[in-house]
Amino acid sequence: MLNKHHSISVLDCENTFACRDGTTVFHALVHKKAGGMINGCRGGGCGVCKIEVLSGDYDVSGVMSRAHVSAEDAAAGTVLACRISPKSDLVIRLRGKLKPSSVSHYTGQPLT
Amino acid sequence: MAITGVTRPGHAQLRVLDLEQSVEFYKNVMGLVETGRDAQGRVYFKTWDERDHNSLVLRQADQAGIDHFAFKVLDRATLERLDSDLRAYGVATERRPAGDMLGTGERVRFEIPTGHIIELFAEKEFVVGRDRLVNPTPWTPQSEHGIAPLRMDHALLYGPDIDGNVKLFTEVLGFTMPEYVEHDDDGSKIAVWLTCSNKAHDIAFARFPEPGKLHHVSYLLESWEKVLRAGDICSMHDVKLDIGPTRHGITRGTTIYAFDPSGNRFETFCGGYQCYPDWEPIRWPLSELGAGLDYPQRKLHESFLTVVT
Repeated sequence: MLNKHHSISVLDCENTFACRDGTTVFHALVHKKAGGMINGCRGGGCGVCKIEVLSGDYDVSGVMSRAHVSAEDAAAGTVLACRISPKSDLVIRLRGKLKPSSVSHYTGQPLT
Repeated sequence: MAITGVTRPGHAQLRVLDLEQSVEFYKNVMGLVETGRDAQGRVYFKTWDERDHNSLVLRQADQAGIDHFAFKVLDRATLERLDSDLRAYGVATERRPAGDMLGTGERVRFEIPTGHIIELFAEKEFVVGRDRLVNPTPWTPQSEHGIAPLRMDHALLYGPDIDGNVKLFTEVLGFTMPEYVEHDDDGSKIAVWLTCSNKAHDIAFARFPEPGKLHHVSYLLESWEKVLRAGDICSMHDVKLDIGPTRHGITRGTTIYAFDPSGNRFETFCGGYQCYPDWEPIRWPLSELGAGLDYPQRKLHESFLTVVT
């Protein structure tokens, strides 16, 4: 069975990103090292990849540091992109040190 | 030189988000030896070659980062003298009793101007480093398991008042400063490398707006080949890489930086140089920091400058 792709739209960013089932949103954003992208810790600790999910469903794949995401934040959809993978298309807003201007460099091709 | 006073880094206590996942990483990917667990649930490790009971302590918490970084001092008299010197300098100190940490004697702890907790101790339970002290073998099966560093070597900590740290470490604790990075325009210090021995650094600090942050804990390897092997092992286990393999201009070490499962950065490195307390420090203007950080590429890696726990 083919892996399903979901589309990640980033507010204030012209591109959308393809994210495969079981892959983290952060991985989709930084795949192939988009120009200017900060590569965070990818372990839920540093908070660089904080996002707000405006619409769509996702799975949480690991613990996120309470220094960056409170329980209330998490319940309201503010999460770390390295700790979630989409179950549907997502619309997100960047809240950490990631900037729309830096993710815009990425061409948004599906992962292979 | 005679190594006296503060002799070396002793241990780092790190906060981890998922204890068992972290134990698995430090045991089987980093290749450390688990030496015990205490009533608080903390897990203790040492490298295969270290002779003290522990050099890394993991504590489950809801935030990643560092609880404290500790140095071993020569003996109990030195511990008492340094405690009294710290108080005379105006630093408030506290004691933690022997046995509060497994295999570890009484500790003196205090907060430094960058907001980190530093501890001093004189005694730690002796553990045979390799296989035996008489007629030992040069390496053991444990030295081939995972990355298997020789020792926990130093840490780089981020916080606001690094000038206050330099004053405290050099005037009270007997450290010297082999290298520093300064602002081209106003000469203010951006980052400093401090040593209590003749290593190029036993601890380093970089200026950062938030206090108490961990940049990395560093592990010493025997050769550049072992650094490359560490990179292979990280990739095999999907460990998240930050930078390297490359060489620093600053301290001249060959290096790889990556993140543990909670996002705490670690370094596996080799080389650098031996220095002496009478040496003039090496100065790096901020405009040349790219070469200081990554000499072959002369590149400023944004993640290295901004990602901390």
